Amino acid sequence: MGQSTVAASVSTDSRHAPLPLEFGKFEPCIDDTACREVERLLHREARLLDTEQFSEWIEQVLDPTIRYVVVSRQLRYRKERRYEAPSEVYIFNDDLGFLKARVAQFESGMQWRTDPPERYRRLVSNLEVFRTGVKDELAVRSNLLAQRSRRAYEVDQFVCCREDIVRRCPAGTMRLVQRRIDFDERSIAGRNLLLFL
Amino acid sequence: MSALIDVPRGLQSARIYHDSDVFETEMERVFARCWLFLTHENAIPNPGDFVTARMGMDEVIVVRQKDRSIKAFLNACRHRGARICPVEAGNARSFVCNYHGWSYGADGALNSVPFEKELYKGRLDKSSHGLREVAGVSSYHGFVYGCFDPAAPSLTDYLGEARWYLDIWMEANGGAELIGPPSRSMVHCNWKAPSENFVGDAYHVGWTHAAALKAGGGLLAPMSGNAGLPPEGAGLQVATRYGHGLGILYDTNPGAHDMPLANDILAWQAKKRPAIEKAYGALRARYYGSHINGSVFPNNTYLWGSNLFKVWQPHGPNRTECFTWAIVEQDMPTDLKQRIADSMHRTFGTAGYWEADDNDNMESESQLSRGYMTRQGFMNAQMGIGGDREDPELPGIVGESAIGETSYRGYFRFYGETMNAATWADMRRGDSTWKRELTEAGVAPDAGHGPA
Repeated sequence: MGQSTVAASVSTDSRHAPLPLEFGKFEPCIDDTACREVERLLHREARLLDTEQFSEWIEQVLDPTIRYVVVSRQLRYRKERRYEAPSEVYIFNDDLGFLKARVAQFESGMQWRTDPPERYRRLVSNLEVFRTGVKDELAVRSNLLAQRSRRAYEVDQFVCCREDIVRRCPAGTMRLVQRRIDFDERSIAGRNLLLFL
Repeated sequence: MSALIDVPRGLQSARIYHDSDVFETEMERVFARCWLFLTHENAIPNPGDFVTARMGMDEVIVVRQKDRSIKAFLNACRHRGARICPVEAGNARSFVCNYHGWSYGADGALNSVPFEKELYKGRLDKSSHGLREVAGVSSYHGFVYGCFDPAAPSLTDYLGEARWYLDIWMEANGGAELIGPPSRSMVHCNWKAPSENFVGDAYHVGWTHAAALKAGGGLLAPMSGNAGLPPEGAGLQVATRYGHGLGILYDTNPGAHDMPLANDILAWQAKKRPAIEKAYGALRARYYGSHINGSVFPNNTYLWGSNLFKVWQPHGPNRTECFTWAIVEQDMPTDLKQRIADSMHRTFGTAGYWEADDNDNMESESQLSRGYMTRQGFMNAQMGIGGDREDPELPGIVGESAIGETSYRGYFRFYGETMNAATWADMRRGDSTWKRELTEAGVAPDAGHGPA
C-alpha cells in the first residue's frame, strides 16, 4: 500500500491525489475508434462492478498505478476569499493496495451486511474523450448514475461526474490510471458511499 | 418518560428508538439543556471566521468575535425566521438574510433593515432584534461546545471526571485538533444507537467488523471473527457523571489504521511518551498508547487511536446525520496528519468500511422498533452488571474488563435522569447518588421499580 508513481502529465496535491482536470485546455479526441475503445472500457467496468467481479475489475480495468479519489466539498459562498481552511474532505484516496483491501473484505465471506447480496446498476453517460498531449493517454469525462438495491426496502441512488485518465498499458489495452470524483451531494442521503463509483 | 430506563437491571425500553413523544422530549430536555459540540477553535482562527452547526434540530452560526471570544447564534432571521447563513464555513463581516435583506453583524446585532426609515417609521426596535444568542459557548482544550441552558453547569464541570481521561489526548500530548471539513451522511437510525455504541461497545468489534479486521490488517486484526477474546486485564470501561463514558483497550493505539501508517504513528508516539510519562505518570502514559472509544453525552463520539471524532445530529427518530472529522495531534507534521485523515475516512468516514458495518446494525435496531410488539420489549445492557465499582486511582465508575457494558449503563442512567427532570436543579440532586445507583445495580436482581 505504498505511494504510487504518478505520470508527469498528471498534477497531484500533497496527499498524492490528482487535481481537477481542466478539460477546456485539452484537445477533444475526434478519433471515433479511440472514443469507442474508451466507451467499451467504461461499459466493461460497469458490468464487472455490477456483477461483483471485483478482482476482474482490478485485473482488467485498473492500471497498477491507479489513484482513486472521491472528495466531498464543504459549502462555501461563491465569493468567499478570506477563509482559507481546506474545503475538500477525501472520502476515498486509495491506491491499488487499498482498493485491493476493500475487495478482500468483500471476498472474506465475513462481511455480514452484504448478505443477502446487494444489487447494483451503473449507468454511464455523457462520455467525452480528450487528448492530454501524452502519447497513449486520454482524459475522459463521464456522468454516472449508480443505484444500490439492498434488502427489501433500501434503494439508494448516487449521481456524480467522473474525471478519468486512461492509458494504454504495455499489454495493449486501455487501463484506468486515475479517477477523481467531486461528489455533488454534500450530505450523503444514501447512508454511505461504500461502493465503487 | 419514567419507564424508559431501568437502572437497577441495566435495561432500556425499545421505545427510545422510535416514539415521537420521546424524540420531542429529547429536543427539550437533552439537546436544549446539555453541552453540545460545535467546532474546533482552529477552524475559526480569525475575527469574522464562522462555521454553521446543529444543536439538536436547531441550526446555529458560531462566530469568532473581534475580541477573539466565540459566540453562537440561532441561524434564523428575527423578522420572519428565514435562514440567514446557507454555507458551512467562511469569513463574514455581516450576515444578510436572503428574504428581505436584514443584516446582522458578527456580534449578532441587527445593523440594518432595508428602507427602515420609510417603512417602519422609527417603530422597529433594532436593539431587541439581534440574533438569538446561545447562552453558553465554551472551549475545552480548543474543542468548542455550546449550551442553550444558562442553568447548566460549566463545560468544565459538565465534563467532570471524564476530563482525567480526555486530557490524555486533548492535553498531555500537546493538544489535539480536527482536520476538516467533516464528511456528512444521513444514517437511517436513532441518534442514540451510534452514541451508545461508541460510549462502550468493544463487544461488537470482533464480530461486526470481522471482514474489515481480516482484510484491513492493523493491530486489532487478531479479533476478527471473534477468533480471540482480549486477555484479562486488557482494558477498562469507565462511566462518569452526566452520561459520559469510555472504553480503553491497552496498547493498541493505532487501532484500525493499516500497518505502514500504524508503525509511523507508533514511532511518533514513542518519541513523545517519556515526557508524558514524566508529567502525567506511567498509568496515563499507557492510555496515550491505548485505543480509547468514548462519547461525550449526548451525541459526540471519538476513537482515540483510530483518530475519529463524530457528532450524531438528530433529524428525526429514525434519521441521524453523521459528521466525521479526523482528530490528530497538533504538533504532528502535516504529511502525517493528512495520512491519518485519509486513513480515518477510509475506515470510519462516509465510505469507511468499518463505518458501514456499524451503520447497518444501528439502522436495523432503530427501524425494527417501529414494530408495535417489538418496542414493548427491553434492550439489554447487563454485561458486567454487579461488578461496577469505584477505584481509588481512577475517576468515575469502573468496569474492570476490556469488554462490558458499564458505560452503556452510565450513559442511559443519565439519559433517564435528564428526560425526567424539569430543570438542571432537579438533576443536580443525582450528583450524590449516581455512583451508588450504578455500583448497586444488578446486585439484587429484583431491586428497583423499573418496568417488568
